[in-house]
Amino acid sequence: MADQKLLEVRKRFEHEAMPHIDALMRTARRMTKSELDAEDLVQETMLKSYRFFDKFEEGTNCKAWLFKVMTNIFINNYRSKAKAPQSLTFDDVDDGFLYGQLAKNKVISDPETEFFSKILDEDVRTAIGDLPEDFRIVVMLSFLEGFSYQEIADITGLQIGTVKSRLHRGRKLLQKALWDYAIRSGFIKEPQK
Amino acid sequence: MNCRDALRLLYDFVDKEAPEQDASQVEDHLKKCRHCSAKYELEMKFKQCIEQKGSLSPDCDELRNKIAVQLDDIEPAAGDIGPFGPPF
Repeated sequence: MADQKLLEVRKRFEHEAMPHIDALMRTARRMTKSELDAEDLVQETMLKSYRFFDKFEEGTNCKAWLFKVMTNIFINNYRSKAKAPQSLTFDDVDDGFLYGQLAKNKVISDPETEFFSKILDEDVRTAIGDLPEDFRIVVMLSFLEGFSYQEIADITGLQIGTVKSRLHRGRKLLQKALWDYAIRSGFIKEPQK
Repeated sequence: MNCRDALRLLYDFVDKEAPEQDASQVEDHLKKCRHCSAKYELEMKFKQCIEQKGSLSPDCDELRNKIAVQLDDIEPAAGDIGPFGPPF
């Protein structure tokens, strides 16, 4: 490639792709659950993206494109092959779980505001980290990175309906986890059965 | 719109994915129905809580420098897909 052209591509990559390293790293940590693997994954993602930057259509969403590259590398190289799809006990969590629990809990006057103000950052992060991988990735892309359903479908290669159902189940599991933290830390008394 | 339709659209609405027409019908319903509006409010607060408290911004300066150095050794493809095919 001619030096001038190379310089242009490099400049464009630095401008459009490099700023997303923080977001990629945030998700990579949660995908791999290891600082070292996360750094390797992001590094591989950036190098591969640069090599194929001509495939990126200018004017489209560069962040989503990078996440797609990363998700593919993760699925192909990092996800433990031995790990069978997790079957889960999420079905015992009802829709609107938290709403139901808080409605039953009449001890505090404004239960919701009080509840959420007492949840610690650390509790939320642990709850997300503990989600089964399939739900965790979709929850992260939606809640923490702000991608739309369609963008998440493009990134993960899932059908949009699957994205929605995983997000839905992820929500229920998170609500259950936060409720359990609240009871464990004592600011909510377990309702009498 | 009745309560069942309103609750069917709950997550689409909270995630700002509901079509405009549906969203405005939901809003009308919520003004009239305390039960549904309480549910919506809870889900919105929940989402806000996850967004605000779940995000840990990592310090990536070192990694960024490491990657920048490695880019020097790579020549991006000039329109062909390269010997190993596209990345996805």
